Amino acid sequence: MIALLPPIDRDRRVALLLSGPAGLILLALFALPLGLLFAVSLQAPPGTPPGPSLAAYERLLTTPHHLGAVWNSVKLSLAVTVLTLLVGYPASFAIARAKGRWRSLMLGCLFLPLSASVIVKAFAWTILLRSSGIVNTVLLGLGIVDAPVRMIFTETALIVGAVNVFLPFMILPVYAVVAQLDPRLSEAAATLGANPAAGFLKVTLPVTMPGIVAGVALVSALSVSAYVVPTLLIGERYPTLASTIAKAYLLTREPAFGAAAGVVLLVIAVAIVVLSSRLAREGRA
Amino acid sequence: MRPDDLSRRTLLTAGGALAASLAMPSILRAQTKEIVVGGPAGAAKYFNEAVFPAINKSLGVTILYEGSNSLTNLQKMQADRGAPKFSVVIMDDPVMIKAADEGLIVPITAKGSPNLDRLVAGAVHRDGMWANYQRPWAGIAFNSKTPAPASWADLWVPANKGRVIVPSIQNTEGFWNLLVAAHLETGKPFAEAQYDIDAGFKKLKSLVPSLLNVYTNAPQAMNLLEQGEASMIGGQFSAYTLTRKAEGAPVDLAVPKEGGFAMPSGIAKVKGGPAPDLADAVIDAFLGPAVQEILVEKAVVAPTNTATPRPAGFPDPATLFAPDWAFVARERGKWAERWTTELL
Amino acid sequence: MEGGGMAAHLSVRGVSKRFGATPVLTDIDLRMARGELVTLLGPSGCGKTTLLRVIAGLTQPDSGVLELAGRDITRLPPYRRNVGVVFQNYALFPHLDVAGNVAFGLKLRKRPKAEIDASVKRALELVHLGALADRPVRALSGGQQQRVALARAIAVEPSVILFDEALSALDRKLRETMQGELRRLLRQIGATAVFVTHDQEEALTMSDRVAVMHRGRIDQLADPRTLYDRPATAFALSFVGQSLRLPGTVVDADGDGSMVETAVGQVRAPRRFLPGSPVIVATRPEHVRLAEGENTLHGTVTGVTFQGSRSVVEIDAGGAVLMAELPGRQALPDPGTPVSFGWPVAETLLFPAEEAA
Repeated sequence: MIALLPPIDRDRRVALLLSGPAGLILLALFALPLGLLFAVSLQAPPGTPPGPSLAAYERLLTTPHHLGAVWNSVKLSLAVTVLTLLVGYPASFAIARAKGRWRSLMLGCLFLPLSASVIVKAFAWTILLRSSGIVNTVLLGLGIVDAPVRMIFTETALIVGAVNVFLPFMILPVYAVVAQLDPRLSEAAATLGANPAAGFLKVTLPVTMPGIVAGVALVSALSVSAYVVPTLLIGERYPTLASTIAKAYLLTREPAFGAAAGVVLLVIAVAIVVLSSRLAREGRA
Repeated sequence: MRPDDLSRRTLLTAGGALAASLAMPSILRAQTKEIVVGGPAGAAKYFNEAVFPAINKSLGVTILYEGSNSLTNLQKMQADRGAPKFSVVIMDDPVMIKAADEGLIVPITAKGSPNLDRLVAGAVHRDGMWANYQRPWAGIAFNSKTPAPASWADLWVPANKGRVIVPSIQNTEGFWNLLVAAHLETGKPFAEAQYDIDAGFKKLKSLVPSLLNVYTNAPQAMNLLEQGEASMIGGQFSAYTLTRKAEGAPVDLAVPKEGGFAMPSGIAKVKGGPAPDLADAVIDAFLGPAVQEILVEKAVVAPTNTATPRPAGFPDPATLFAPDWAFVARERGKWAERWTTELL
Repeated sequence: MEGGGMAAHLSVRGVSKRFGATPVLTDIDLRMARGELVTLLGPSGCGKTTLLRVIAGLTQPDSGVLELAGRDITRLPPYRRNVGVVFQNYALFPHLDVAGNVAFGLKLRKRPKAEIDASVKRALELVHLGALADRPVRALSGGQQQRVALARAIAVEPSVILFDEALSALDRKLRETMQGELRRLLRQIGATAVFVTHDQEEALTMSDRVAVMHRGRIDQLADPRTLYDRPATAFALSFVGQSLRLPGTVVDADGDGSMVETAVGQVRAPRRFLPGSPVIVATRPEHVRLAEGENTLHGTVTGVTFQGSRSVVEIDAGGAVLMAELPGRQALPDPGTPVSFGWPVAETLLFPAEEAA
């Protein structure tokens, strides 16, 4: 029967058929649990009449302490995303322009740390940044500081460590686009009168924008929801949305509150992704 | 604790989880006498190396251990209460209280586990709902290159500015500093001070300049103490600090003059868990002198079975204060919020 | 500017370039008049694309001087040279539509919007793409992309337009159509253009003059007719058109030329070489007749190909396979027939043997 249909309809049917299993899996593994999460977040707090309630959201978004956790997550995500982009964008070009063995070496340096657990990396940073660690030793040795600087369990340490952990997730999508970038495009721009700065802004940047958007979406979503990295690098002093969720489920056993924090986290992550791709699209037009 | 220890431990845990997920169907499992025990990740090493082989030898039961933190294990039990995976669960008393309240555990009986009747006073809770199979003691962990702290007030001295670590109130041992602070602020004995939490928070606020960090992850805190980055961890306990000492780390545990505390390590039977008979036998083994002697040596804890000898140098259990865990369990959520709001 | 003759619009003098130890351009001289179309023809690796890039400013020469429209551009970056380049793969900006690509250089020059719009429209109409201004470039066919690249280059009214194998990606039929169209268009706007190609037919069709490049040098720079009739080197001969070539040695030389001894007999040529010189003696197949001539050799027919207006006869002369191109429908020998064949001395070419590639 399929063969008798006009080609376009047939293609569409085949596409629908092929995407069916993936769609079902997504529905079962993502849509349903997310629906449940949302439903739980609307549960009335104990001791009040049952029925849908926005109490959990109200508590999360009006209590200064909890609002601080939301802000910490957003702040961390912004800082990490901007810094990984600043470091990762030029690095992607370096890798893409490198030849043969050098490129393999650079990609290896990028990939191998991914196999090390985040916990190990966090420990490593603690060792590097402590008062007798290499960073302080160098600073002292160079006479830049007179006494060891307290670096561990500071926001700076958190951001440095998080940039280290999340950097590959910026570089990989950007590199994937940069590697495909035709070097003739910049040359074409130059022959048309574009100096290097104009060539970068008007050609290289917009053409590599899809990679930037993917990297930004990936890193911001990962860092806004980061749990292990802040827990180990700064600890309880820096409550985040993720630690709020963990505490609500594990310690205070308030599923509605935890679910509400989860929904807020999801909304923020989705907003970042949607916003960045829209900005990119406008930038291109 | 070095990172490689951590990864080994993680591996052990991961291996356990893998083994559990690959385990045979339940009928076959009953034949091969296997059960799953949930408990603290920190204990996985000495459980797997010493305790479980001993139990396997005496009872022929193979134990698959799932190490996590108590609150995560509680969450797991809550999630699969319809078809529990654990037969036995090992958790701290404050979490046991919640497990009992939520109907996730059933009482241990002297019929199934005869050693229940041979425990020291106060080790059996709520008519056998759970029992303490060991009593680690808590004090101040310190780097042994520096002198031992004599008083809990040493945490506050200016020399320790920025070098003190305390556990999060989310951890069981997180309560000790709050209790000590209430005692130091009011001058009341622990038994009364434990209810004066406002005073505790007031005093703890003045500890903030001394704090290097508040930990939820004990291995990281212990690492900083061993490296000398931190000078003390207030409220650390024997089963963790002294096992590291036994492994050669430059750390020790002081019981200050105001006194130390009894950590509540409980074992319980999971409601509706697989192989209830094996669960009784394993619990009985944990409460018996043979296993407890291993724990005394490997985990550096006070035994609870009266037939187990107490080695020299272990503090007298009678001098260790045990708080009203029911009160702690009830209030801890509120304290956690105050803790982060007021102290961090 | 040098006196006598037309002032050069583009002048390349003594340009050399090495990549590491490898010379890619050696002492290149090229002078082009305004409105002239010149092709750089040669096999891959001959240096033609490097020369094009040197003119565009994308590659810096090691030595030499470049002048364009009366100014020294040797040290100018590409964005100050006012050259237009049509790249082999077109290098269209994928994030811009057709009009955006064409307007790119004009916007950088900060022209008023109305002027830009008018220029874009004019350029697109010249290449017959007026209707596709709003299309994304990805949606275009290869031929259309080629036109957009051309429109983008001419829109800025460059002093010279450089084509780097610009037609090679198109299929044969489209390429032939484009060749004619492109030549007409470049004449129409009075453009000065340099083409780089390895396709001799394209070179002969498109250009006023062809520079045959070989191993980083220009072997010959001449109009297509001269290049074909009087190739300056054995390489130029072999790269442009068909030819018969035989190695030999000069045995005698006088005022009329040289006598060359080859493996299959003696041949006379008008060019003079010292006796004893190793040489290549050659002629074009269309000069060969199946009859004795001023130069005559003997061989056996090995094949005959009928091509409509002409026929090609393949002859084996003592191991060398030679060709004769015969006009009209004359009677042709069967394969295996022994034949004598000849051609005029005036059409006999002679080159030193070491020049052969």
